[in-house]
Amino acid sequence: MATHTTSRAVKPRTSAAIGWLVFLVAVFTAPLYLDNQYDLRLAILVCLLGGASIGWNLLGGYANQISLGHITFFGIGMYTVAIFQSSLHLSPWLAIPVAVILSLAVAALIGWPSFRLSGHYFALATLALLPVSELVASGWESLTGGARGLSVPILPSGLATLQFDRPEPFFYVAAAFLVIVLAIARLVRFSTLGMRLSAIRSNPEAATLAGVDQFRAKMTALLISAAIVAIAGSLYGAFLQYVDPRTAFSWDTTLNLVLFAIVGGLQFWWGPLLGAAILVPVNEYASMQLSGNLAALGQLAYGVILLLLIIFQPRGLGGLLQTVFQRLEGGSRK
Amino acid sequence: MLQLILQSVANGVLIGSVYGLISVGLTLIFGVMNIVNFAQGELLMIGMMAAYFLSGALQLDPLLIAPLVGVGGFLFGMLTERLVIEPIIKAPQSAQIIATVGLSLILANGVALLTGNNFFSVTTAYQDQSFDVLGLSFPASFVYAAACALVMAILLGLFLNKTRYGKAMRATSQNRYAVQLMGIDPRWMYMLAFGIGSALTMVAGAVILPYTLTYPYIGQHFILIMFTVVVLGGLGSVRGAIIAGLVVGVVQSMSTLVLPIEIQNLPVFVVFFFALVLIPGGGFQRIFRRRPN
Repeated sequence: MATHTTSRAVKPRTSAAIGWLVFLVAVFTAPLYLDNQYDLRLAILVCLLGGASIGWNLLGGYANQISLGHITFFGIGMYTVAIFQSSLHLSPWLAIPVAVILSLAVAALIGWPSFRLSGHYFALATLALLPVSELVASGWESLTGGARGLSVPILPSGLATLQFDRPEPFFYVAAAFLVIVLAIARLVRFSTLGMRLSAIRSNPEAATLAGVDQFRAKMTALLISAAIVAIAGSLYGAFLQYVDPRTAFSWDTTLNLVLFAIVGGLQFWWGPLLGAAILVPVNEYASMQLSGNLAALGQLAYGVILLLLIIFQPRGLGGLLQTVFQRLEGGSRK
Repeated sequence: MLQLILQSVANGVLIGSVYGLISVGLTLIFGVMNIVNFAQGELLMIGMMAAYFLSGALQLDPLLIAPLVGVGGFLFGMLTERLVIEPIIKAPQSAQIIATVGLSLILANGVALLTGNNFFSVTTAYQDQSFDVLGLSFPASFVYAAACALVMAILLGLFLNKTRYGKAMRATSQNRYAVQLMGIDPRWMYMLAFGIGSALTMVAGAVILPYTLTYPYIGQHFILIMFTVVVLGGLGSVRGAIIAGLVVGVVQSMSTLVLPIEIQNLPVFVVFFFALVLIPGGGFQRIFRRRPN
């Protein structure tokens, strides 16, 4: 966040570098000030879900193509890791490329027909992804363990198995993932692809007139974002050491990805991270406090936040911050 | 074997006519307002819930409650359009999707808070009855629901084709700017369309209640069937939605002959996918083309 606002100042490159440095130090020293296991667990969730939401945003925020099925790629990642570790006795690191390839195939299968049609068809098609994956996951028992799911056996701890006796090492893995994803999101945002996606967002017809191949741009963004979400899911699966159809392909997590991006600000590359950093702790706290019938209250609040933000502050908190900073800068110049 | 096939086609037609009724509201709202309402499944759920509690309170059959649910649904839909849809009618498509998804969360969880996350079903005098014709058996509750769907479809057709408001609504769906020059206020048409779309779906909820059960999150289960029907019929095409409803019902029912019942929705999704792949602009609109979308 700091990087974006300071990059508008006199020497953008230096201040951007300082911003990244501050951010990296803040992230990688987190285990020093988050000294209990619970907070560290939340930090891991922020990294993984925030990273997945950044991946979603490459398509949803940059190009305005709302996917309601991205958690399918997340679930594919979780399942691949679990299957590799429990049935095949292979390292989760080998599972990640497999999960990515599977997700790319699914993404191509859904993007290819629906991006050729205009408008609403992509969102509709992605919505069908989740129930289909859940059906496959609970039906194909020999592979996925059916509705009972799969548990990863306890293995000797270490980077090779992605199992650790303390949460700190896993946090570093998750943080490294987050930093890489952020860098990719920044890179894509200001690349030719990013410009094309922006053009599609602001005016699809004009973008076509300007020579943007919409199908290709959307497809590329979808594939990159599917790969990112698949890796996030793989790491999440390794972290939970358990998977079943409901946690892998959950509608709640889908909504989380969307909500993080909206709260943070759809058109900012760092927006989803801001949203995740605020909402993951709130979410955890709320789910501890609200149980039984009151659990619906949390979801109800989600719906209200979505509606109010989209009606009154469609640029999210990031947009709010940007306005504030611009006012401050404008004020100091006078 | 032939008997089995005929029976499942008959079942499919009965279920499918209700699928058509459920989905007509969605396609009407899309056709007039160019908005995909992701909360349509929740409207169905509210219709079912309203029918359950009203029939309990008034000691009447859900089918007799249905007109009342329809009137309530109409008013509810108009109000919702005013509060939620009106502010985002000119917003980008993504904002509209997010707003209606937010609305669906509010409706589903609001009802869950009020009623608890429980299952509700009604008992009717005719729930074990069935009509036997030509060796096929038609369960009474399905037949009544299909009859209600037919009546609603005829009423909707009369409204759209014979009344001034219906014609104005079709004109709005063709060109929302030109109708303003003809003295039609599109904002009023949007409210009306959303009200009628909600009413149709809620009535459908009331008429299917006798043969199914309801719970606060059942909307998610139905929304995919609605989308399949609407995409197959051509987004925005009322006639297409009714025909596609029948097709989806028959496909689903036939598939239970060869597939286990737990995955009876899988063939529906396959149909959905092929509708997307094969037919640009949506399936039956090509056959029953009235206007390019």
